[in-house]
Amino acid sequence: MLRIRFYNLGQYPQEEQWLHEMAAQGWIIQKSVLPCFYFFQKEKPQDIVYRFDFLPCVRQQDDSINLFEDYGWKYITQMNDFVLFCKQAKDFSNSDLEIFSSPESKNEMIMRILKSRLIPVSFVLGFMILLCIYTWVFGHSWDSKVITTVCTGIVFVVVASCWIELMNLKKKIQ
Amino acid sequence: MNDRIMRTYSPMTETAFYILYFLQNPDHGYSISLQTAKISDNQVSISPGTMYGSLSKMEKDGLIEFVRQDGKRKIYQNTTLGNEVLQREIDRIHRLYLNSKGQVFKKGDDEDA
Repeated sequence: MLRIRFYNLGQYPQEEQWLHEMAAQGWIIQKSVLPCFYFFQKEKPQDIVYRFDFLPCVRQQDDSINLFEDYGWKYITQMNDFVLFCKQAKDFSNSDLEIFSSPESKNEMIMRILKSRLIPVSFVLGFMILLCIYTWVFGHSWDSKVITTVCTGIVFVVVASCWIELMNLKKKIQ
Repeated sequence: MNDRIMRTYSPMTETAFYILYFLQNPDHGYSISLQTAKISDNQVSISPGTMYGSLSKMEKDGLIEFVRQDGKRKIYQNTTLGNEVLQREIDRIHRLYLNSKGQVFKKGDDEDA
């Protein structure tokens, strides 16, 4: 079954919760394709906990998967460098259902997301804003003004919401 | 010792302390986690995301080094710098403990620790 959902860079906790709720109804995530396509398989309802770790390098992902498996986590898939793990909740105590045991390491994950995704994308947004201003100031055709403004507007909203969500996550850790 | 290393690792988080303590001998991440839980009576646990992040950071900072691959597991051990940083932290904790008992700490006391 295919479901379409949008989660931005700072909404991985909500995404984890949604996958958990789907599993409770018997829909088990198999893989995801950018930017918003999730493929599920029907099985019996299960109490599964899902957790993402963000690792922007393939070698890190491989090393991390091996370590997580030692702890009883099962690797599912990777989505845009967000590596997805799961555990059957009934087999473990609450503390074993989290992948970070210190606020510093939770914060470091957010910093990795910022450095390798959000900051570069923000630079692109900055460039788009300059381009937009250029098309307005130097009197280009009405079409190009509208197109650049709409595109810049959409990217701005997406990037701003990512910043807000990630900063909220950072605040919650404090 | 490098200023940046001192600022990062002193005072040290409990996670870093237990990793450096157990990597005085070659070992892998999950084993460190099990031993930490045992020795601290489950007061301290190191989850996999935290363990992986800490091992990566300490390797980058030169406190630990990769020794060998054991099947799928990566075996690490402290470097000389790692052992120095660990000893500094042990001395600091020792001083705090003595002072907490109302005992005066003398610099030479380090050698007895």
